[in-house]
Amino acid sequence: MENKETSPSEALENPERRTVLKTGLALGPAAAIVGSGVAGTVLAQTFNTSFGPGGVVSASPKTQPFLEAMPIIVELPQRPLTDPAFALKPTIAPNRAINPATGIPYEGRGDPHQLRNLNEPQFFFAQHYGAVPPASIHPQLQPQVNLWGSNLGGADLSVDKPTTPMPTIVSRYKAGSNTAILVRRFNNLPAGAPSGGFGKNSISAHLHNFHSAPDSDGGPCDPTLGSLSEDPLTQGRFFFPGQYYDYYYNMKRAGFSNPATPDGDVRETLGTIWYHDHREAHTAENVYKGLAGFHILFNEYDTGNENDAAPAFKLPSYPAYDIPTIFADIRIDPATGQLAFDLLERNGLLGDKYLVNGKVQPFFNVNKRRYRMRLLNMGPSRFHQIFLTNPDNLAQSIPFWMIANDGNVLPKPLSLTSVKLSVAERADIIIDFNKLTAAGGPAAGATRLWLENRLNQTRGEGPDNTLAAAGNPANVLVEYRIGAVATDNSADPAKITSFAPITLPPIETPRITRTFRFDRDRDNWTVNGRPLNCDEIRFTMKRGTTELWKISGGGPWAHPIHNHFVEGRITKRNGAAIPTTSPEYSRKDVLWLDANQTIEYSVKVTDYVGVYPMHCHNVIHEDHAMMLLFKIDDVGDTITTP
Amino acid sequence: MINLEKRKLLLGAATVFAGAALITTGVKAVTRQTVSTVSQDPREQMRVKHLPNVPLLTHNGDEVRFYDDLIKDKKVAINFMYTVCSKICTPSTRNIVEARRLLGDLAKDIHFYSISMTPQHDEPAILRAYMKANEIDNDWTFLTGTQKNVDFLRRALGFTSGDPVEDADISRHAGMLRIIDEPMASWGHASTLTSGKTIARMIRYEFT
Repeated sequence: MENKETSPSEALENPERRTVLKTGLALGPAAAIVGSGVAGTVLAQTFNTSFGPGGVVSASPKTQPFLEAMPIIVELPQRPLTDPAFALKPTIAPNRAINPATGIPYEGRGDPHQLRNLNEPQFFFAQHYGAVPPASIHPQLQPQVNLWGSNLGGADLSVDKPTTPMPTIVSRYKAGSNTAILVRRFNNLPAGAPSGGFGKNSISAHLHNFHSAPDSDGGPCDPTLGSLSEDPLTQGRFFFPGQYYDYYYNMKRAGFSNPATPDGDVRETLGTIWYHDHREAHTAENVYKGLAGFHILFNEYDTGNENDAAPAFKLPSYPAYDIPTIFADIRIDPATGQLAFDLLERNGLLGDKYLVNGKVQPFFNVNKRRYRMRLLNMGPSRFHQIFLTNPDNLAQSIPFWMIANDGNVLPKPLSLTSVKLSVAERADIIIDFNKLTAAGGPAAGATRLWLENRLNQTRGEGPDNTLAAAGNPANVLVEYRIGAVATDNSADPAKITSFAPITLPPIETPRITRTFRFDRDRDNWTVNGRPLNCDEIRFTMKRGTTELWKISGGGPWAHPIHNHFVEGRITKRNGAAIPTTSPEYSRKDVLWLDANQTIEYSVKVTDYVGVYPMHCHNVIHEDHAMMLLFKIDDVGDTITTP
Repeated sequence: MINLEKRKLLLGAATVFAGAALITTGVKAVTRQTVSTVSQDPREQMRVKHLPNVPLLTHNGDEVRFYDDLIKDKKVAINFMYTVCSKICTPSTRNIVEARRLLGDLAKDIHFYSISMTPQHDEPAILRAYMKANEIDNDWTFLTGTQKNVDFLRRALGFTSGDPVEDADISRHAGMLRIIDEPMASWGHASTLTSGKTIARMIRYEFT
């Protein structure tokens, strides 16, 4: 070549290219619509102007709110063991035989179900993960072709079609009985390039935050599965198209392995949990594509039937008045009309449109009575503070009852006018549409109420911590349209003085105090200065003991911190104890860590041994290695800064 | 009076969803919005958004086009570095060397590219010297070009920091390896600051 060994600047300078570059760079700052997603903007505007103004970071097309009803999420049906889904028996050991049709093992799981012999599964479910057929999320938008979901377990996906949100799984704790379940998940996601250019078709289904052994927890990776763990086909956690994975949930509270308490500790009861993809480095894409669903657990007290007598809590009946509600803030590319994901964004992905139970800003018809709304912030990154707003009388301050935090009932119902939800946090709230709207009530005369997020957030890294004024339709998740009075046999939360026997376990003296700093180093998200390494276990907890974790964050970033496997208790925020009137006076599995805060968090591990992750649940941070692996065994270690 | 108050409320509220005018009011007929005839092919979308065909120069002094010659139809692993950087680049380079060794035959199907962030200084001869010093074979391509083209490419591939101060400081650049399977429109990443073993594992995870 002619230019060999000349200086690169001489060799490559090109006037045409230079003009293009100048234009692109000049557009950058002005076009920074969200977070720091400048790069995508620059690109789309420079070397392909036909693509539209700003690629995926441009504003979504406008839509009119409240045109369609919010769907009730379908429930996953049980299947008998004779169902074709279980033609290959669900065994304790994974089925690692090679499937001649695919050339890879039938099952993706790498390890046997721990302690399954104590409670063999009694109820069986199946679901096929696959592409969702073109789906309308709003009557003004194009049918969506980039979504993934799962079906109800039928083998023929053209008949039993995948949906998102994925079907709700309902299971029960029942002391003295074996109610263990097994969920067989088949990967039928499409081969080849993923629709929209985002999504990974190998998956791991995390049940957030059931007391599961690592084999059924659905984590990202596990180095203890041996050298095999380096081979993608045998690493034992995520599984591929053509494979299945049996997830076993024993439906026992933590503490079940103690022979004296085979049902576990009733104070460890969980209610509203969810399952979502946890594929290492691709969780954000896959969850955003739709791989998330509710798993709700009833028990001897929270029975799902308001007509049950005491000791039942008489909470609004499922499914008529108990409404799982999953919301995400999304972005639609105006050029394609399709759900868009910014693969370059590393701080946080902020949407500009709410998708609630699969519809953009739906309405929901309610009667004048009490409803239990199970709210779940699916992410990917936005922090929320959610209010009830009467759009026809913005001056009204409208209370509701919070009864559970992250699926753990509070000591008693708490009257609030707003609830804060970072990514993956859940709040069970009771709204009494009858009392609220009655003459003299806080929302007297209201015919509709908005569930409205008023927390300002303009950058992916965290919220602005200022509130928007009430009554902006753009900020509304769902409009409740209030109809006639209906029979209500549910208990008035004002009269529930305690959710005993599901009370808060005492905080035990820690065996060790460890510190964790969630921060950033040279544009890597880190925990204690290091990114995730799938080959490294950073600390080991001793089974049966309690630890105190001091968790802090570098500014100016906020993070939702999540550990798998156990619920903990926040004991202090910035040195101050949690007041009994706080929603955080509760068990938790996601911690809203504001910039420059320190949280003290008490966790106790029981029953299982093995490897679990702890990570930031801003899934963009999570995928960019803001995670570590820890282990539980019968020895433990003394590393104070893992 | 009422109108003024209402306007104030709306203005205040607009920041929740920054800059996005979301709502049309008073829409009578509800019809689906039409879109331009942009390709829905994910591969094409990725090319358009993220894979510019900028000219670069290899360590051998060959002129190449980024998309046409280096990316199209290939599995690639890309990082940014500069030869006088020791703090982050040296361990990163060492880790990638180790990852390539662990990948064995698999590495032969993967094109490794390291792009200089100081291209004015890192001329091909300097890149070759750097490769020799780090015992790197000729099948791992080091690249240079104009500062503008390299910066443009760095942004296109997402090797940028949200913090402008940090972004301007090359000694604090991202320790990241982009792992791309172009025909599959698959984009993954690994932290080059972990270890060769982990990088090899992440590459295997991406290319299965």
